[in-house]
Amino acid sequence: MSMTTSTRSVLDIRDLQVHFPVNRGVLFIKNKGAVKAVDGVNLSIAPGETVGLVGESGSGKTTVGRAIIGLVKPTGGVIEFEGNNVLEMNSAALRQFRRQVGVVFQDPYGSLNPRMTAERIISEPLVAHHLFNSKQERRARVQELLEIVGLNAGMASRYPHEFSGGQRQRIGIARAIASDPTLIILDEPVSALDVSIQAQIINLLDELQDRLQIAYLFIAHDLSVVRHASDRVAVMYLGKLMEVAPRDAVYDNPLHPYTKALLSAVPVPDPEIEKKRERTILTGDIPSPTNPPSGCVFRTRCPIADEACAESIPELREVTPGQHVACLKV
Amino acid sequence: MVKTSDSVEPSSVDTARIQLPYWLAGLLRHRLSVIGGSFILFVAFLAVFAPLLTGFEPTEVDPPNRFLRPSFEHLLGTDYLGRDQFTRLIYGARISMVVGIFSVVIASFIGVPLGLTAAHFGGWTDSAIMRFIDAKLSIPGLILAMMLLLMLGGGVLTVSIALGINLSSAQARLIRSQALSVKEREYFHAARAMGTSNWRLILLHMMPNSIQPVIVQASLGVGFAILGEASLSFLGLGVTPPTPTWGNMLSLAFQYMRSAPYLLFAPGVAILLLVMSFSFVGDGLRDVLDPRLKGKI
Repeated sequence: MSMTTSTRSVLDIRDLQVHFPVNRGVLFIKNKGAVKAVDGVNLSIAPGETVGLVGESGSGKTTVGRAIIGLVKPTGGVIEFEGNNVLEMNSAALRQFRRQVGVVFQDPYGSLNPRMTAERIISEPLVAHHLFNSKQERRARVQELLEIVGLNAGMASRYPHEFSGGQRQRIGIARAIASDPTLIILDEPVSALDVSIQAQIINLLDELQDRLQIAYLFIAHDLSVVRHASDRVAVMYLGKLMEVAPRDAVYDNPLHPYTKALLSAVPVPDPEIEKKRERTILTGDIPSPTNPPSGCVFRTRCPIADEACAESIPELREVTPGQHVACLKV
Repeated sequence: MVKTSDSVEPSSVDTARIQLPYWLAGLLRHRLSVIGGSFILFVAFLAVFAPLLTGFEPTEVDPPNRFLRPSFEHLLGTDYLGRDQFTRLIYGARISMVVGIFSVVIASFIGVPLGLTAAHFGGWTDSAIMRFIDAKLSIPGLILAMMLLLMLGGGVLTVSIALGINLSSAQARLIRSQALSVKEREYFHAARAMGTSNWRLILLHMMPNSIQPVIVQASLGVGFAILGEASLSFLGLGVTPPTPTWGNMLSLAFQYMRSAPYLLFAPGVAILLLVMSFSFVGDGLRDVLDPRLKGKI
């Protein structure tokens, strides 16, 4: 299934599955099924595009990101990077792939090694990929990167604890762009930051994208954060994609009941509109991914579900141009 | 995190230079560590300058003057061959200090790589290394050391190796458990995702962030090693006799306990105080390096 009209995408994920086996017992280990963290996800990202991946905790959005960068091993499916399947790459190709894919993590405190200076943190990908081999060249590159992300080149010798949360996230971004990647996985890059700093970081990411032509997979649990940054938005629930659509379609004309529910959870800053608008409120929690509901995984919390939803699994299909929805009722 | 701000020098690049003032300052606020540290320095001073501090040789036999009581000439008396007990004590301090520190260094050089390898590669490698260490732990330490010494012969180096092998299990287990938690940190994931080699992952990310308890354990281990050397020498297996060690001095004194009980006193108290000093410093280091206790000392 192709999500975009462009045939040359940076990243093309097809039927990605990440199942974690659940084992019980001490000496006699029994396999008690699997946690289907990601179950059949299709997604592609065009060069220079930002795809927002949203969902509540436990939806598997972070696992998708981790599978792409190789931190978890997918149990099925294909991850194609510039036409080559990452899962079948030899070590040389894998090195090349890692050079071209950056990652920014959520926690600006945990994602930087506390025992390294900013300079060493940022030059790590350069060392790993043998770029800028002389010390002077590397130092010059680090200073350039620091300035690109809005920090002072003189801060290179400081340790992470000497920076604020926003500054640390800028260091994380400098590290991610150091090896000139074509794709960056942003794993909730602003969730741990103050709101005022969130905007600064998102603007920085925007600016970098314009300048360096990097594609982003922007993972977030907050639709309002993704709205500003994304070209397209994918909504995930219990390991499956519910709706994938251009940004404006998602925000102005959401079709999937889950997307509608997520949007009505975002407060509207105007009290008049806020009072009048119709809200879909979800009750209960996300079901356990060990034992997901039959048929449509969302049916247990869906306001419009009926018997048919328990029986067949809805596939993503194009409902309006570019807008793909996995729902039997749409 | 409050305490670290005063130790920061933004211009410095070297890790060691920045951390030293911070934990040294912490140690200096820890009263028992200061007492222990001073005593260690005092013993080290006696050991290094031993030839200048006494007019006797440690192996100088003087049969007519055997079993002399402590006096101004012989501060701690003389033993059954008329050797000056004080001279032997300060020369013996050399052996104790060298064996104590050397054993711990050997233990760390064996244990740290094993623990880090086990933690990083996990799975089969981890099981093999850790089961081997468990198996080694099932043999009592002193017996293992005795076996090794019988095979290799006595001497400062062999005693240190025997004790070092003993202490290495604790170091390996300690660093492994710390390293396992480092493995789950985001900076470690980040380094892995960008294709950092295993070698760099272990040396630059895992080791610096899991070494602290090993340092604490090492300073406590020096005391154990000194005690171990004394026990081996007491059993006649340590450093070979004419060379004085606190252990073999104690062993000799033990044989003349009835006629010259004062001979037991000096080496016994010396061992006790030095072991205690190292464990005070170890406790202090643990308190200072433990981030949860930061600001409370």
